[in-house]
Amino acid sequence: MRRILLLSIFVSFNGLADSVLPNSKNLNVKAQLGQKLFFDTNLSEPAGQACSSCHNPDFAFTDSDKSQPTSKGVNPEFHGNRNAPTAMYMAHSPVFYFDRAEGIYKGGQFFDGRAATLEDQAKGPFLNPIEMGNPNAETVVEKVKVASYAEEFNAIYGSGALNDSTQAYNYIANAIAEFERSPVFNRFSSKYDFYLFGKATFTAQERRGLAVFEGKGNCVACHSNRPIKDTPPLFTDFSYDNIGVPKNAESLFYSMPSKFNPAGAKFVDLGLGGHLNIFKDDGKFKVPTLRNIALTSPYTHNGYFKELRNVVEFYNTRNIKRHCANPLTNETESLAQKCWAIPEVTQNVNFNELGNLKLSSRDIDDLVAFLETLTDGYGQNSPWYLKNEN
Amino acid sequence: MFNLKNNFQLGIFSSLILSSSAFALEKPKTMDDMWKIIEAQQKQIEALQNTKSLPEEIPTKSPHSEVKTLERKTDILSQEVEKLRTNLAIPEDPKYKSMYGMGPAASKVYGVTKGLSIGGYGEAMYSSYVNPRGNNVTNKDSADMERAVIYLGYKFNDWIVLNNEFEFEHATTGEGSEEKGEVSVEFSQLDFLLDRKYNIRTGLMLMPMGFINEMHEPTTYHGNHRPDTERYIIPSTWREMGAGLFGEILPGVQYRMYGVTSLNAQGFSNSGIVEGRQGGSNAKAEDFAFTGRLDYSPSQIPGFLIGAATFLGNSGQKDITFDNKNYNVFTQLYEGHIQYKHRGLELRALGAWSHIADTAFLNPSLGSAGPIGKESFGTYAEAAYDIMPHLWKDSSQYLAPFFRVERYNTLAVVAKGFDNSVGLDRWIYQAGLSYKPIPNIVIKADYRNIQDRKIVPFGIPTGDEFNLGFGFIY
Ligand code: HEC
Ligand code: HEC
Repeated sequence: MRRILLLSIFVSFNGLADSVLPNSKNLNVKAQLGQKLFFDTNLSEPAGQACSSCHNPDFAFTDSDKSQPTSKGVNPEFHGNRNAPTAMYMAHSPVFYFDRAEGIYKGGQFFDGRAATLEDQAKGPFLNPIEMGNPNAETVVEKVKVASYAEEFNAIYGSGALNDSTQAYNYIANAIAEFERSPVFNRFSSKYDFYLFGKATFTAQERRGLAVFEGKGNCVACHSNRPIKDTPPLFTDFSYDNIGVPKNAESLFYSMPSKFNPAGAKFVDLGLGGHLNIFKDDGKFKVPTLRNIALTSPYTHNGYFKELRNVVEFYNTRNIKRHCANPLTNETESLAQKCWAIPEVTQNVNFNELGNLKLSSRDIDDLVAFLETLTDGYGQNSPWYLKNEN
Repeated sequence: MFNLKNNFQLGIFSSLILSSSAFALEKPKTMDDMWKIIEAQQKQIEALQNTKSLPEEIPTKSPHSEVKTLERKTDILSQEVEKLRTNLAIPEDPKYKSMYGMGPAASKVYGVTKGLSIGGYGEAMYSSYVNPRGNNVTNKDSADMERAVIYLGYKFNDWIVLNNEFEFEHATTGEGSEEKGEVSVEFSQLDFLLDRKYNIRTGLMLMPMGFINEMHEPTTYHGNHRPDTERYIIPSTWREMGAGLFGEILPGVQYRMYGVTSLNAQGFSNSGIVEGRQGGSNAKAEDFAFTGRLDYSPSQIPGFLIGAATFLGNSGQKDITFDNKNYNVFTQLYEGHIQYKHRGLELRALGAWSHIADTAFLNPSLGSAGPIGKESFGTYAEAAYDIMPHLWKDSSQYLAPFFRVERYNTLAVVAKGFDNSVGLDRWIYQAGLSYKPIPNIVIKADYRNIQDRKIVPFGIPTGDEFNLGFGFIY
């Protein structure tokens, strides 16, 4: 319990998280170090942008700025092409692989799986010209060397840990990944979790919503809601799919300088297919977890949807409403015009499992009520931890 | 119960070679009689097999034609001997009689002299949901070749019998849209017939619970669907790996008792223990169970049967841990049944009850498939009456209207705090007709009025249904 005191000192140094993070009590030393790196705004070029700038703990580690579909870069004029997903529960994503039995790709990090592991992923943003803008790994290591926590690297990874910049960059990534594997990112403390333990009662509406989620809605086909062995429900199977999200004309990425976006307004995000250069994976994006979904708007890879209910409405009627005359019709106009804009990538759209769910308006309300039970912090400690601590 | 007049079938050799007189048997009244018949037949066969090799048997009269017929007879004889040698005995005119609790077609192998026996059954049905909007995923009218089953038995000698059932469900196991069916070994059991009272059985065995589990051939029950109590409370068709004893311990008193692999609690759900069955497929064998059954059919009251059965065992399989403690999930299932058949009247009733321990620790790992009922129960009663003799005097066909009332609840009691609003808590009123042009073939029509008292778990159709189907055994 002494640790709380210590931690609050660590945390307050960067000023971003002024209260103790939930579940951050008994972090191991690597994770504690990772936490400092994660919140350190000095690690960008120029200073001012940390991982936490786009992955804010108060919004389940997504961007707190909901006004734009994609996050601001280190230069606030710049915007990336994708909506910052939650970094929570991503420690459970398996290393990117091809599942021979099912014949599909699974796991990995990012919407397109281009980073195989959390470590690989953590090395990305520092050097991304839009996100944190460092020209190379040495620049990042140099910044860490002058940070207040530099000493801890020697204590944890051996003295001189920061001397070799390639090795040091690996350690930085490892500490961050260790933080992302900690209970801070894996809280499993939603009302749904307590419900599964008989420690929370669902309202009639939430119960009906759960039934729609598993039944008519068929959401479980991708957003699996049951524990697998000792892992609590993750609400994703880490597979990739094209659900047919339209192009988001409101994304500022289209107007980015050609240095960042050579295609300009014609830019099309091919997702997994773009990364692998495989046609039949074009338009597929990694299935996101639905934990904390009430906090993580906007939704989908390009932030097309601002409202959770509209995502569900889209799943429900994508196949049956006519196409909007203008392919760049936005979410609210589409609803008003009773149409949907055509998918950004028309190949490989999943027609089997979604698009015409025949949900009534009440079903949709129920489903949304259920999704809102997935927000962490219903109770202090996860009911699963008692079970798994051994 | 089934064609009591039928003789115990002995395969092609005996039916062709053995003259009728010695085997014009009266119906065997008890297992005891049956054993005597088998023994007598066995002796006859041995005697015949000895004489067959003697060449003097062939008469030596001269006229040309007689030689011809004689040659033909020897040909036939040697063909039969050849068949016997290759141990292939597919009865061409088999009689169907349930043995040792198995279905009539499944019992064929016990009837052959030696060697291979083939049998099977199938059932297909059309289901129409009266309220298709009840659930647009599950309530789709369907036509299904639900089961096509092959029995392949092999009688090694007069006391060692292997019996197998291979089942093809829902017609295909292809890929993609055809990936709906399954193929499974329903049972594969080796019987050592030692004594009327004590016999040994081992392998993948059917649990001796209720009416349906061991005897599920479509001609043996009414209605297209098996009664729900024998699907969700007693999870037919339920088989496990194990070994045990069976026999007739007193006249009219039959028993079976086995030690088997237990259930796997991680498959339990709010619709019961069904998915906890292991079926001998890489079964977890950390926990074992006992199952036993006793039936009494007094010879004084032909057609009457009363019995009970139980299944007792831990089903945690050392996988249910919580806060560093292992929970055994001790599972108890009890069942009692009674049946009476008299002059075309058929009455049947069954009650089952289960109790499962440690469910509070099991439930979280079941996720939203849970909770499992700490207690569940099911019961049904049915009556049927063969009206054919009243419609058509000398017909051997069968036409029976039937009526069944069923009440079951998979979540009669749940652990404290858990949600008991989603589960199968039903009253079912079912009426229908079973028509058998010959005893091997049945055409069935029935209507089920289903009254739910809880939200129905995903994947289970809701609302009334009309079913039309046929079944056959061979
Ligand atoms: C400028 C905003 C921004 C910053 C700063 C940022 N990220 Fe991200 N993060 C994103 C976006 C956008 C994505 C999705 C990118 C993609 O899929 O191509 C993402 C993806 C991720 C993912 C993968 C999530 C998933 O669902 O696969 C993780 C983990 C993550 N970021 C962690 C970090 C860490 C650690 C840092 C600091 C080193 C960081 N991010 C800095 C915006 C940001
Ligand atoms: C075939 C797989 C599949 C099914 C079925 C499916 N989803 Fe999704 N879901 C996805 C994928 C893939 C994405 C990401 C799409 C993108 O970003 O373009 C996604 C995204 C979402 C999002 C946005 C998440 C975020 O963080 O941006 C929500 C909300 C969602 N799904 C809810 C549902 C609901 C509710 C259902 C059932 C009605 C459902 N999904 C069924 C695959 C699926």
